[in-house]
Amino acid sequence: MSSREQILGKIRKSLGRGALSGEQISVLEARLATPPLHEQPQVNPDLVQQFTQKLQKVGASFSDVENASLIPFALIALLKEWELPLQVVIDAHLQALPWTEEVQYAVRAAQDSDKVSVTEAFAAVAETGTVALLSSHSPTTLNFLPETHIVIVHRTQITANLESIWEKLRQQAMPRTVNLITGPSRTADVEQTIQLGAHGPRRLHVILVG
Amino acid sequence: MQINSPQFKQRATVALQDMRLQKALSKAKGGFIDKRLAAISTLPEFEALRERGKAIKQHTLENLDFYLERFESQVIAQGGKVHWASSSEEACQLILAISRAANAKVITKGKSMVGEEISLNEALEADGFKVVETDLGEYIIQLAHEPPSHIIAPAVHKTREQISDLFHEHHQQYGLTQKLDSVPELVNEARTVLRSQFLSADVGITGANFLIAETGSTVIVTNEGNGDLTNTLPRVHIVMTSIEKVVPTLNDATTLLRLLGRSATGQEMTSYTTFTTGVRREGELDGAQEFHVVLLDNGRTTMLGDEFKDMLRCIRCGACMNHCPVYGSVGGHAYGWVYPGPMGSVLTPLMIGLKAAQDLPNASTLCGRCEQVCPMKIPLPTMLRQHRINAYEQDLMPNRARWALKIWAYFAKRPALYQKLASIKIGILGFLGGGRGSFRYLPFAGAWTKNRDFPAPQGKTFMAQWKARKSA
Repeated sequence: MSSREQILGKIRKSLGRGALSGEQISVLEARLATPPLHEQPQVNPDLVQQFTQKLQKVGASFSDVENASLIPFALIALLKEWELPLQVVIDAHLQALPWTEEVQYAVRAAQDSDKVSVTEAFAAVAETGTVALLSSHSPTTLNFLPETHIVIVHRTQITANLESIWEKLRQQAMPRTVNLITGPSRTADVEQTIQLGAHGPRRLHVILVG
Repeated sequence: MQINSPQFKQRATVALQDMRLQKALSKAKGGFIDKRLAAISTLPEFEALRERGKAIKQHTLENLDFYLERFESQVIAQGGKVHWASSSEEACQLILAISRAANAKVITKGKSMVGEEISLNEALEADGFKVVETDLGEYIIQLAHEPPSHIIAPAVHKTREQISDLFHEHHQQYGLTQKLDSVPELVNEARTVLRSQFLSADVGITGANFLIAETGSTVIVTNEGNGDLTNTLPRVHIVMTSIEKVVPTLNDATTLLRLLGRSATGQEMTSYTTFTTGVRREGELDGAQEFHVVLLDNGRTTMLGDEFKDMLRCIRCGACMNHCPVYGSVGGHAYGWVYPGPMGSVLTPLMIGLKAAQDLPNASTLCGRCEQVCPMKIPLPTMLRQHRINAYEQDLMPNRARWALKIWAYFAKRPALYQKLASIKIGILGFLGGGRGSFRYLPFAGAWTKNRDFPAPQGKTFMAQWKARKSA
């Protein structure tokens, strides 16, 4: 008997039953088909306000632009403020923005030497100040290798609770990676002292659009 | 991992006298407790979430075969493979075979307690692979050749000075010769050293906090981002996990995530919560091209049918050990195996045998704090007591303790006699110790009086006083 059969057999034996009946299975199938929505934490009705408050609480920063065409300019201003070279790696969806020659951009997966990446969020959650990024939309390495990660969030994308990400995601194929990112990389492994930038980005910045 | 649980008493004694350990433990303890309290006090829904979390896990366990099979078929549908392992040895063999087939030289690892449970590093190293732990805490203890002492903070027993010494010794080979002192410097140096390992790895192994039947996803919860570099950069990603980690849907996992972060580190969400589903899709620029999930049993299916079933709800947050007065005094290494603290004292006897671990269920005052803070409301003290009962029934207790209990039980079952004897004993002790108010030494209680004085009884027994007051 394979270990698979052995394990499944032992589970049924321990539960004191045989294989589930067709009726029992259809109850479970129904639960999977319509996932129950459980208790959710209360969220401030002003979603943008709660989202930005939570961002700051977890050590991320944010700024605003009125519309997407202003993103490259906002980006240049930020890089100058942080005294970083005007070079970024972006995800392909941002290529259509009106880039100027002042900033060099590359469209690819991240490399070790990259300092700044810019990616577009799939969703943002006010409950926790979380941004959701999908590997089907932008290479996952952009979220982790560069020291500075800039995420583009449209104000209309901000929803109250985490479950709304799943609701939206169920309309499409599940990507290989869903990253829920809540603040920059951190560790407390040396004497429980929080230090930012353990292996991933030291800085997480959100540009709010709209 | 080597089993040292039979030496619990000796190890606890050494730990209590280890000043460096005591310093590290006292630094950690308050932090965990305060942060958890702050996080749950701002969430009025926390109790409701606990009840819901418990119900979700109960429901999943009752239908574990269904949800595991669904999880498996979803992983396969996304281009991944699922491997089932009844034992630790089988799990190691499966991972060795995958790593050999991948022609791997360097293997990076995210933190995995199941990996520790099956002694995965030892197996991989014995087969010639270079294994690099990438969670900073795990990396520190890998350099020190030590096991983790806490399930979410593996190097919590190490002071900054010790970490500085370890880095100084092991990082010379990379040309990093300066002795570092501050936390930022230490974290930065580890970042530099480990970055090159991430980029050169052929296989990445992570654990999983949850498995999702709905989608075939594995979930990891981290703060450093090491888990994500481990599962994204190498060509092959292996998830080493166990069967009770499965939950039905993404919504169910979300409820448990709200409990996990707050109970563990007091975070509403950790920096990174990552859902991994299958292999790199066509046209994508990064991500693993092979995705393997190894599902371990190792005694869990037995637990499902006995009095330790509730333990399978555990989501490995570590709150029970953070709030345990015994763990707080002796640290995690004293427990002698992978899982320390109250959850470990329940699990270890089930995994390595009650005979080798019989001291662990006794290393508890049964104060009940662990059950109070457990997000999954696991009745840990009840299960520790059950282990004690089992140890007695299986004749594992030393004869002296056994006879002492038998004698005590004889009198306890005869209240009139018990009260009579107690009042005589109290009278004698009160008379003898009355002058000084306490005893420096008592026959049969030498171990107790070695470290503290025994107060002399004052007045009559409780029962006598009760009777007197009632009739007054």
